[in-house]
Amino acid sequence: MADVKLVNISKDYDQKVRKKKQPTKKAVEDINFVIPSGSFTVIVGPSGCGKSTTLRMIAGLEAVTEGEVWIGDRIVNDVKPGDRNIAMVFQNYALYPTMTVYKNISFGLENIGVPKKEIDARVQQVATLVNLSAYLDRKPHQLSGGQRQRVALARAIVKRPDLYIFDEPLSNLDAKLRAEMRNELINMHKELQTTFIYVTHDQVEAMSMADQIILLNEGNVMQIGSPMELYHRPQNIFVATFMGTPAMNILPVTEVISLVHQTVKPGESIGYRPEKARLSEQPNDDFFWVKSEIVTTELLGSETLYRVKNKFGEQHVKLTEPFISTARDVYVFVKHEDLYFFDENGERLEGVNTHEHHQQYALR
Amino acid sequence: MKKSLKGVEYSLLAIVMLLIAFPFLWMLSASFQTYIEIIATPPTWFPSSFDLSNFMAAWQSGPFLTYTMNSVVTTFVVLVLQFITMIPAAYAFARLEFKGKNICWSITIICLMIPMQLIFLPNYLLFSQWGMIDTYWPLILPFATSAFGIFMLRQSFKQIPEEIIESARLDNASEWKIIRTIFIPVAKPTIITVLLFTFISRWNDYFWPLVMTTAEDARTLPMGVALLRTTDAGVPWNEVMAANVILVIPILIVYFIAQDKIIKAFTYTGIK
Repeated sequence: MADVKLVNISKDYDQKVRKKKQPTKKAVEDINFVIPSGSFTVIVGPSGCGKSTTLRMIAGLEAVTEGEVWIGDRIVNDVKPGDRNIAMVFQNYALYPTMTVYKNISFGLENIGVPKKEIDARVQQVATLVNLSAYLDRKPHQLSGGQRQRVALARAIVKRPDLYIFDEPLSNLDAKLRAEMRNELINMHKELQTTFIYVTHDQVEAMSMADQIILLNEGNVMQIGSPMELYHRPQNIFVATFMGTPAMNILPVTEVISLVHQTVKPGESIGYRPEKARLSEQPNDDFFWVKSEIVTTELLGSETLYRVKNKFGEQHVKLTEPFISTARDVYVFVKHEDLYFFDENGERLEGVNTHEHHQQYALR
Repeated sequence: MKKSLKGVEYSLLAIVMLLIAFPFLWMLSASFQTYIEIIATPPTWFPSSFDLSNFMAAWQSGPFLTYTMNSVVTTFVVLVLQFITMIPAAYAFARLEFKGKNICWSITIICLMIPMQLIFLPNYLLFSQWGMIDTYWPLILPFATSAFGIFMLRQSFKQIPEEIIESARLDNASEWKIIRTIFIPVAKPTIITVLLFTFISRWNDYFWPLVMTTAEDARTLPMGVALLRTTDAGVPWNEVMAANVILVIPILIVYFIAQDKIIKAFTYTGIK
């Protein structure tokens, strides 16, 4: 069991090219974070944000350009991947194609000279754990996607590593299987009580599994915190719009708007989540309201998603009860404490009225 | 519609097969014919008897046991050497980054394009200066590695996803262990095919041994067969054909054993 610590980590893929030409963007730039021992940490971000690069630097598959990677009390920058005592599960499973399931699982143990008897016992035990006992003699191409995924998991578990690393392991599975595997992973984390680092571009996966989320964008850390913290107290527009589906509505402000507790200046933005808004046929001055018209309506069963248009542009409103109206003009209204405010750089303005309220939200 | 297309397909296949098989069948038939039968016009299609006298005569017309041994030894050593040299080279080209990689690769590709007729003279001079003419060396050393084999193997190594190798590295496997347990098994069909091509070209080669050997006891089987034709009393075609059958049999046996692997090497689509 060990903390993972990244100190001023940068990754520059074309360092050699760089010297000759003008500087281009680094894949990962000066990031710092700590992954506490035993946590389930999800590194999330849009594609190209540097999350896989970060993960691969922790695993030792990618050299670190600058900074230090700590696992426990040692710097592992120059430690071979095999000597870091970590196990990795890849997106495409990366099973050894010509080996049987048994060999796939036992390969890592053989390489470090575990006695044959012990290997056998451990393989059988892990195979039972992931329901693969009947398939030990099969080759990977004779297995279904879900079974291959389980082999990849078994291969990781059998090594009893200090650290599990997952690189988008569920993205090749269909939706139903993905939900199942998500639960299995959460249970696995509870049972193994080991550090999990999990990379995904899917914020739903991040929200449902993580106890700590590290949100990256363009090689920089946007925010680190629990899923609820990121959802209720995003530090900037990027975090606000990345977490939650549909994304938070951002209303660019072009003229001074005076609200109950503060004034919003041009250049700043107001944000509200689609699920916090309501629709009505009359304005109501107890709330923040905007005259709008409904563009489209999507019935999703348990909820209804409206796309509305007003002077701020288009926004989403999500209601649990369908809103039926014949009026041409409708009014979107949001409680003042459910509004978010961002400055002209997209940073959230803290200390305005919503702040305390959302802290309560996070704690509740 | 479909049925008639199938018919066309099969008849085309039959024609191609006949074209390929005919010389073989005629060779086989001729190897059993008597001298009278073989010079008859119109040609004899089926020999009157199936005795092995032509084979005996061909075998005894020269030191065929020595020829065969020479062929077997040189071919076998070449195969072993190619196996040893090709795999690490292909692995390096496919997977490692090192200085001069592009230059080395260009040289390998150029080797693929230079015809043997262009290099036999400098090679001959070199071996004669080293005093190696009439030994096995000139028949082995120039073929110790194969540019074609490195090229083919590199392609098949490149198909292996990077993640599998990374997985193996995380599983504490050394580079050699990765080559042994992952690359070689995956590339097995390609390796077998490349070695089979080498086997056929070495076993059948006439030109190179002709240049590099002058003494009887250094000659290989194809030369022995060719020597049969240089008799004063007219070419005993029936015996030449019998000798050819002897020459071809090992190739046919090897081919039949490795057949499915060869098809795999050319239809291989990657790893699931």
